[in-house]
Amino acid sequence: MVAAVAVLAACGVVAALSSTRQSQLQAAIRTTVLYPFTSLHSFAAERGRVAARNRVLAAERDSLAKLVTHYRSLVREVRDLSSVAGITTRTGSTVVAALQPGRPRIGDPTVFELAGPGLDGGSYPSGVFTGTGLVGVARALYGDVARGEFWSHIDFRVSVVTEDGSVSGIARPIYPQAGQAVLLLEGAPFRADIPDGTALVTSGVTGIYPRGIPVGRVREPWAGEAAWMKRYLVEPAVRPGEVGGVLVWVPSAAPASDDPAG
Amino acid sequence: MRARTKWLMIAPLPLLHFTLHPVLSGWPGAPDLLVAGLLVGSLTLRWDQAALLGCTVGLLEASMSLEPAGPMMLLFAIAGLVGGLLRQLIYSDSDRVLVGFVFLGSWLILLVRLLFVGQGLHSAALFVEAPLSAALTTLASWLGRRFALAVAS
Repeated sequence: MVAAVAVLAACGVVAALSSTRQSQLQAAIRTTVLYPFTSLHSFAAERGRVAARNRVLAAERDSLAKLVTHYRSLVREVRDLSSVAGITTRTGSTVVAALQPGRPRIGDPTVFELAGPGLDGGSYPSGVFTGTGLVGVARALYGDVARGEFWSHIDFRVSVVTEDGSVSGIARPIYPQAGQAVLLLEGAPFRADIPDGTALVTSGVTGIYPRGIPVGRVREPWAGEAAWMKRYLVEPAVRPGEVGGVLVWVPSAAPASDDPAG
Repeated sequence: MRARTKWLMIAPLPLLHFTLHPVLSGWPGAPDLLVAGLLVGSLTLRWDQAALLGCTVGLLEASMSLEPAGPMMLLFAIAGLVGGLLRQLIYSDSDRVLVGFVFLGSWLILLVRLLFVGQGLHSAALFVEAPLSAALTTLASWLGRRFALAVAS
């Protein structure tokens, strides 16, 4: 009887504690008695995330394999036609796989560093992208590490075109209402209406980025700053926080250009 | 019943509950192995021990699921206490008693938990999720009892 009353009294004491004290008590129990279980849950969740990521990577690899097969036949076709017409073909451009090991300056989330074999063979600036879209631009090589900027960097510009090639413009980052960065498409022809959801890809006109890399999708018209000029908010294809492994474009003969737009 | 057999019946259920917590907590009709352990404990332990067991598992459950600790501890301690007192009235080793006791007990605990600690009571919880969970909880406690008796013998 006494024991039961003592137990109920203990429960009452805990119930009477402030929510902060109760949270502290729960945190202490989670980090001691329940630690084996919470560790197991974290481990299982991490395994699940890795498995999901593996599935995404496998799907990405399969779609890339399809693309490569398709482009191989195109390359062969171009070579055949060029030899028939007597045109000298350019040396093919290539890409170098790189990892993003970190950021050079704490507090600046718009710059990155890349490491990987083959980076020293490229010319800079050079486009950086993943299987899903454009990540940013590698500006220069410092030793073994290439430094660059995400598309969210204030100086970033990229020349884009709609997938059907009807409208082109320049995309730059913008921070609407101090929120998450998105892209702003500028310089679109005034008479051209771009429907929401239209995919924008790199135009590849200056040789910094290869043509056809997804940049984002048009979200809505943007009426800010100047009403006489058509601008559109663009939802970027890749968020900097999601990036791990990337591809750096190594053009065969990059034109000497300091123009950040590509 | 020997103490070893008793704890062999009770302990695996809360251990399984905390191990499978992310899986079981994501489905409203999932068996509540903690309640199963508590009710089996209240049938096999003294009522004051059952209250202490309830208080302890209530605190652990509140810490794991980040629900208010005080109400959860009180609920589980009272459940253990009442279960232990009822056991003195309806003492029996029969499987039918265990099944009926655990089914009704887990249903009631789930409803009280939803009403006072969780997100509130609604008809789906009352007539679908709670009975389903109680049925699965009963099955788990029956299997646990069979397992413990088999190991002990």
